[in-house]
Amino acid sequence: MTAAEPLITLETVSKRFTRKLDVAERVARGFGARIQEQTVHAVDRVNLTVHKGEVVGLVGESGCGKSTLGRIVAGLHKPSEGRFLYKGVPVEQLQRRDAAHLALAIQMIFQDPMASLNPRLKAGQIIGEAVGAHKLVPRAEQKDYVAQMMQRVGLDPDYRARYPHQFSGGQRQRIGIARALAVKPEMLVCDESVAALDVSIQAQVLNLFMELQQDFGLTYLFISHDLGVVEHLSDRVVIMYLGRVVEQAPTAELFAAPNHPYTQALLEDVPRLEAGKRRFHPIKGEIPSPMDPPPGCHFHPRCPHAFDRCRVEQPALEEIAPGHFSACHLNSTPRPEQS
Amino acid sequence: MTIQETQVQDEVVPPAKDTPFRRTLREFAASRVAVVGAVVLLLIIFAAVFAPWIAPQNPYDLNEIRVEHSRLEPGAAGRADPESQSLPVPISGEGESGRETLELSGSVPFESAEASWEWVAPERVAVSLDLQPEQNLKTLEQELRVEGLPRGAELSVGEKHDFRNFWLVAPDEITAFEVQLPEGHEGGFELEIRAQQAEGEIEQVYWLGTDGQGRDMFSAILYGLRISISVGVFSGALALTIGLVVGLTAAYAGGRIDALIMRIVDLQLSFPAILVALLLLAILGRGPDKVILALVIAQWAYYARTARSAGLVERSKEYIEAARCLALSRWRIVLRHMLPNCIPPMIVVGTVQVANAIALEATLSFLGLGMPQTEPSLGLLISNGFDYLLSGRYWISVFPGIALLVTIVAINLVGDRLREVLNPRMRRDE
Amino acid sequence: MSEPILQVDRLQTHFETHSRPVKAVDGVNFTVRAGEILGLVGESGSGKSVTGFSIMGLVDHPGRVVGGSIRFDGQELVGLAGEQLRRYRGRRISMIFQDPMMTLNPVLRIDTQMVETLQAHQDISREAALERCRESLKMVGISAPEARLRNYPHQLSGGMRQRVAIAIALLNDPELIIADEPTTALDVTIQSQILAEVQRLVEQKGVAMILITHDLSVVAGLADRIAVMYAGRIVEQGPSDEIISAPRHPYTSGLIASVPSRNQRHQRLRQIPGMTPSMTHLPEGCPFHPRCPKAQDLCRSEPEDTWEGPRSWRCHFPVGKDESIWS
Repeated sequence: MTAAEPLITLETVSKRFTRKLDVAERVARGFGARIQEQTVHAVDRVNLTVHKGEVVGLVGESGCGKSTLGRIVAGLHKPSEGRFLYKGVPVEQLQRRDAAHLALAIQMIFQDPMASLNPRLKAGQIIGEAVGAHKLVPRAEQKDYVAQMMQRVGLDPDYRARYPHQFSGGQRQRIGIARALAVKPEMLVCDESVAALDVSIQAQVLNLFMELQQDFGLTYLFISHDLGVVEHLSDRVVIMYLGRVVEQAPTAELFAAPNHPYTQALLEDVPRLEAGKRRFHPIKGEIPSPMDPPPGCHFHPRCPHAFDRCRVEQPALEEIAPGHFSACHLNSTPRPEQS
Repeated sequence: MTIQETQVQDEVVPPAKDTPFRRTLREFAASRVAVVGAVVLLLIIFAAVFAPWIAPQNPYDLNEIRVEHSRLEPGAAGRADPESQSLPVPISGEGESGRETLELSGSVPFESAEASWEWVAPERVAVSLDLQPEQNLKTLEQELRVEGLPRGAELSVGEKHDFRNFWLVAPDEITAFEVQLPEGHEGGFELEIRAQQAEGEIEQVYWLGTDGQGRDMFSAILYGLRISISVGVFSGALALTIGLVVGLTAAYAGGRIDALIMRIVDLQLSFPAILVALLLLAILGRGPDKVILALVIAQWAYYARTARSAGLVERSKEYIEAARCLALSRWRIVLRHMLPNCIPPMIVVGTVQVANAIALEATLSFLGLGMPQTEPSLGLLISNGFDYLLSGRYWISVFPGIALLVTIVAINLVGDRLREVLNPRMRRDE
Repeated sequence: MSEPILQVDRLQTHFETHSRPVKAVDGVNFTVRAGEILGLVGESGSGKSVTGFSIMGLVDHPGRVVGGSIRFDGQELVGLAGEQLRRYRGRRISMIFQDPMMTLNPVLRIDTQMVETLQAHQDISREAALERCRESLKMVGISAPEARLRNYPHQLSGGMRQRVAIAIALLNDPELIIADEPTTALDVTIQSQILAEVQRLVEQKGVAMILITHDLSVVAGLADRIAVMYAGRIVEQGPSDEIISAPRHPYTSGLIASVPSRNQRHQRLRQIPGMTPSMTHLPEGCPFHPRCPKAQDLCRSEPEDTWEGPRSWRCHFPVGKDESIWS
């Protein structure tokens, strides 16, 4: 895996969303109302490298910035800070042709199969639109090409003239996958791509993802809250909490020896399909609002091992074993007596 | 709070021919009131479009309007001018008697006439007329007029006109009379007898009465509808286009452009539409083009606001992100993806706004600022009839009013149903 | 064993549509005892939620309970209406929804809503009611009930709202709680907190619970018994351990086999082929037969429930012990 060249690299990438005050609010503030511009650090100085042919799982709960990070990778958001490198070249320095190539090279598969399809276009149009717009195949062959794509994702090409609402949830997701595949991408960003599907359909779509990876040598950034799915698919797992990466490791190692207390809590809390009554030992506290994250280590208010340093100093992401990174003060400080 | 059908219907795969349009149509038809509204509206639009072929009269053509027929009640018959005939009786020189078949002009009331005369005294001649058919004498309205008498001559029947030189004779006395010529009269002379029918032929029945100028109200309403609806639709279509472009631009561009556009919209919306339109027309003057311009300026902001909010909703959907991910051009995303999905709410606003435009135009015309007198819209018709309302001639005002009311109610019924069918929040699936 | 508090017998709930009736629930039998959690598991359109709504008497037009009986503590609920139904709904039976905002009114403060809920069913003073509210909030693990009572729903996080919704469901000391996907919208760590509270409450108060979910693994460690629904029918039910470790119905077996953790990492997952059937065009006989690897001609006729001790399945060719049918 290390031999593979990096496909994309994010260097200390941040994304902030600021809601500017409108006129009325500015006037109100003039009169002394306590209104402030609200800034969300959706992604906070994240480093991430995805190698060619690799499947990276990105896990976290709501507000952790995993979807924002995915959209940065897919080119839908511009990072507020930091650099985005494609095959080792910063995107601003890419040649025109390479930039055009990159625009299609990373495609996204969305969570909601209905919302991600234009309800007024037919399946064939949805899949073929970008192919036609970018003239990827000759016009005369376009129809066959679309049929080929539909077949590849397990859809009957005869359904090309149907509208999205005439398909089932699983079929809609397949249309979304065919649409992405049609522009011959190198990498797919899957944002909770099976979360909205029925349980019996999830396995079908996951299998499709795995087949496609083998057939096309695709690279995946697989974003999910479902640890089971991520464990099954990924080579490497990245755990995020409130905009920051807290742990990153090869899949087997992460599930066998989670280092960060948050990762440990996640693994503990995930529902398991096992016989026998289960005792829940949930981690306490709520997920803080990303608008007002706690100082120091974001996780410290919920962490059972938190000590003074955690409340003031942000832990750095450090390599604790080959390829295994964790951002926790416990790794550099001897564990205090009380826990 | 109940279970929606979503849960049950989620995996239902509808038949292949089920296009969004058909589905909308089917759901629309589920409401009987809305269907009635749609049928009425279609009838009204049909009547307005084909008014020149349906209307018995062209109310703008002064040649077709008869001032004599003004203010007729609903159901009154409109008659042509009664026809008249002149019978020239050439009476030859003194002492002779003669008989002549008269040359008739016109076809009514008599088909043929013969006159015979006899000089009964040097200055006195007896005339008798044989008119066929005889019974038509009874349909004559008034006295026949006997002209061409020598000055000072007198008839044995009828009466002389107060100051002009002809006599008026009752129909039953015309068949035989004597003429007393003044002394010293010599030679023959030619009498001319004019007969006029009591009533003209019925040209048309004014089912809805006539107005002060003698216009057929039914025709005037059809033409008025034509004007009102076309002004409403034209201004609506223009305002919708402008609003759509402006609103989608604001939604897609966001930031400062959005803020600027929406402040202008807010400003515009803070004035009542009627006030804006009144001001504009006061400056521009009357005329259909100016009315349309005023309505567009008064209403584009409604469309822009709707287009923007619909655009924002669509823009945040994942399929727009997908389109951006596929590196499709901005224009393509706006025109092919955002625009078609913003149309349903625009249609809803459009129907309501067209109804408003029609009402607004009627108001302006009623106030005397809208359409010119030569092209009366419904509002102007109502206004014209308003003066007669208190004198009991209700129909001049009331019937155009009803037409306006029915039109607006029908549009609103259709619009309300469209809102239910097209509003995403009330939708059952998607 | 105690008498069941709820007995559902051959329940049928149908929806009128413009083509043909949708048999959302078609002949469902199950019982729940006090202090027991029944996990009702199924995919979208399986009729699991409609079953819950039917028990609550919340099925509205075009839906209707057309057959069967729902006996609660000996009283037949089918056909009850108005005041009689209200004596049960909200008081002795309460419901928790996936979206807590189904329970919470966004414009009212929490205390107002909770006191109203209490006073709607019993004659109680405001002070006494408030005291009960505090108790109830503490019971669902809210540490500062006084502060929460003065909040509006929008001031609370998703997990907190769901806790409050559960507290409201508990107010009138119900004997049965129907929880419809109570943790589906929540994050993993919060879900775990809520499930822990649910487990504690059922044990402490001896209340019966029907936990409706699409996720078998949520109920696996929590429910005493599991009933699996497919196309409006319960295809299999029995004690959780036995269902999870030795499913008899091919559908249950497929659901369990396709879970990633039961598959070799990076290898193809075992999967159920095909798609969830359309409720308006159900296959003849056993509705699962077009997707079933064990299906034979006999499966075109509808199987009956087969009972074996506490377990039942509705299948002509049940899966044997250690038999692996999915690939």
